[in-house]
Amino acid sequence: MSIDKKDLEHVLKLAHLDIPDSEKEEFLPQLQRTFSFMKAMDSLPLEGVEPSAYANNQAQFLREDTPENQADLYMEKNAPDWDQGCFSVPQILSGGES
Amino acid sequence: MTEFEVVIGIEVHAQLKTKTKLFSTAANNFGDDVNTNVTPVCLGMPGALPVLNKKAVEFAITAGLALDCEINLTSVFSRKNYFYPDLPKGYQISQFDLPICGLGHLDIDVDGVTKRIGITRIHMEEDAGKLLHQGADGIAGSTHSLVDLNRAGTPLIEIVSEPDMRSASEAKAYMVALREIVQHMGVCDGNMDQGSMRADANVSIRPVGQKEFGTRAEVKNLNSFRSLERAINVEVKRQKALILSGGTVIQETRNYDDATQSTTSLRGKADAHDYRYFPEPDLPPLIVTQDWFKTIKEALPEHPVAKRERYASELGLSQFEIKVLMGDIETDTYFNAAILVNTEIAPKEICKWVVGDINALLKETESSFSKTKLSSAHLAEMVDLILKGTISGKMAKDMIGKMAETGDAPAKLVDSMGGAQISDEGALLEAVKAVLDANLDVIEKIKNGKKQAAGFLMGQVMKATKGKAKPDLVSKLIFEEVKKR
Repeated sequence: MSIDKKDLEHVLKLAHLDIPDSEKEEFLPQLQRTFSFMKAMDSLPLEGVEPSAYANNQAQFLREDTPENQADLYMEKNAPDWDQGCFSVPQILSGGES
Repeated sequence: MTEFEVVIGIEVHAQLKTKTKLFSTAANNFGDDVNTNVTPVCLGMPGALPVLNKKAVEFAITAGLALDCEINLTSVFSRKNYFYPDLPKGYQISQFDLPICGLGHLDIDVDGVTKRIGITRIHMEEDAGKLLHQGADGIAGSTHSLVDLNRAGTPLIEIVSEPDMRSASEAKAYMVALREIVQHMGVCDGNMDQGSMRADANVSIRPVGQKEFGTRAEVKNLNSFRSLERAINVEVKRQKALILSGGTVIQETRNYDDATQSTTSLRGKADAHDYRYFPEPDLPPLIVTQDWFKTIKEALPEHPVAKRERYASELGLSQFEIKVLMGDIETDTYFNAAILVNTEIAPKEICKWVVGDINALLKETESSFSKTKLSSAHLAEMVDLILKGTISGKMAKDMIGKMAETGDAPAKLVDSMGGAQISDEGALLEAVKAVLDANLDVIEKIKNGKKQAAGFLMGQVMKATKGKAKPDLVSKLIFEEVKKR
């Protein structure tokens, strides 16, 4: 699988990143090289090997359903805009849309 | 004209009744002050790690077993990536290719016909926060929004059905049956008005006889049975008109507006979501051991279908009574508490009051079985007083209003309401004799066959005893005395 400029622009859009064309030219070959590393796996004998998402087979740790009192998290100090005990965010839909 | 067939699949999000959130120890409470039930995990702070709630897993499996689903003892959490202000991490932890429950089914009843609806899967995921839009009623036209993260991280199960429903009324019946299951299995409170249960309907139409499905539109966030039914009908109408005028339905998400009775597009195809699911690196696979699975199975609450059968065969309740009890978990819980207070009383005697007068009174006073001051223990006491003859049914009717108002015990109210019913034969006989002596002409009438004339005598005795005489006893005494004369 090779990656072209369109793929890169799609990923940038999904990540809400906006970069100039010159940087796209710079990053695209880097990204293509990264993906080509994966091809190295093709040389391994992987017949019958299940794909795995994790490096080890550790099971998930579970927690009892007991509430804990939370310390003051000073949320207002982490919020760019704080109003009536809430994070205040700019308009979500732009003007004309509905 | 082309005849169309409607095809509906439903996704239901049900909030689990755990004390804490899915991945954090913050309280899972509706209606608390904004941003009070949050931890660094809920906020998506760097370095904060999710730890899965054991109870949420048990609830998800319980729901799966109640819907006859295959249970996957190994399941995997995945990240669903998207940006929205109610999602602090920039991704939702959900399950994707290996959910906790696989294929199952639910039987629904529409107009007396049973139909089996397939369940595709049930997966666990976390809810998002809540947006409070400012400057307008909804998101449209608002100037900015406030974010309350109390709901962020609330455990949800998403129950996905097969596209097996063919009408809005089948969709409603499915939702009703599903709500009954999650409520009676104790996994979700089913409060649709508080958003504890929300439905998205996938709606498409196809010419009758066509095998392939038409393109579907997903109608979002239907939070009542009525809006589910209406939204589907509105969407079907839209798709029919569109196709008949030569247009094509596009796959998209649509919002239903109850006020205008219309659905509108939420996201165009151009920015269709690309969620880039991948296995959640912070959480290893969830493995349910055979032992744990066995414990959950053994602790399963009674299935609603079995409960209905037991109510009919063992308790002798009518279909109407069963419908009322099963339709509202609070009513059912109250009834079950009341019949345990005094097991000498036949449950049917208790049920009559729960389903009848008390239910009506609570509706009228906008109260509910969980809020009323009339406790289940007091109800049992009152029914006991009726069965012992201490009070009449009529007195009881007045009494429930007073109990709901004051929370007083029936025994206390008997006195303040003018004392117990007179069921002492000797005392009543005096009153009956006095009335007969004063109404010799009426006695003649009864002797001549006009038995209904006894009603007048009954009225006189009641008047003399201020309504406290036990009616059946008075009636018996009147006829006995008339015979003697």
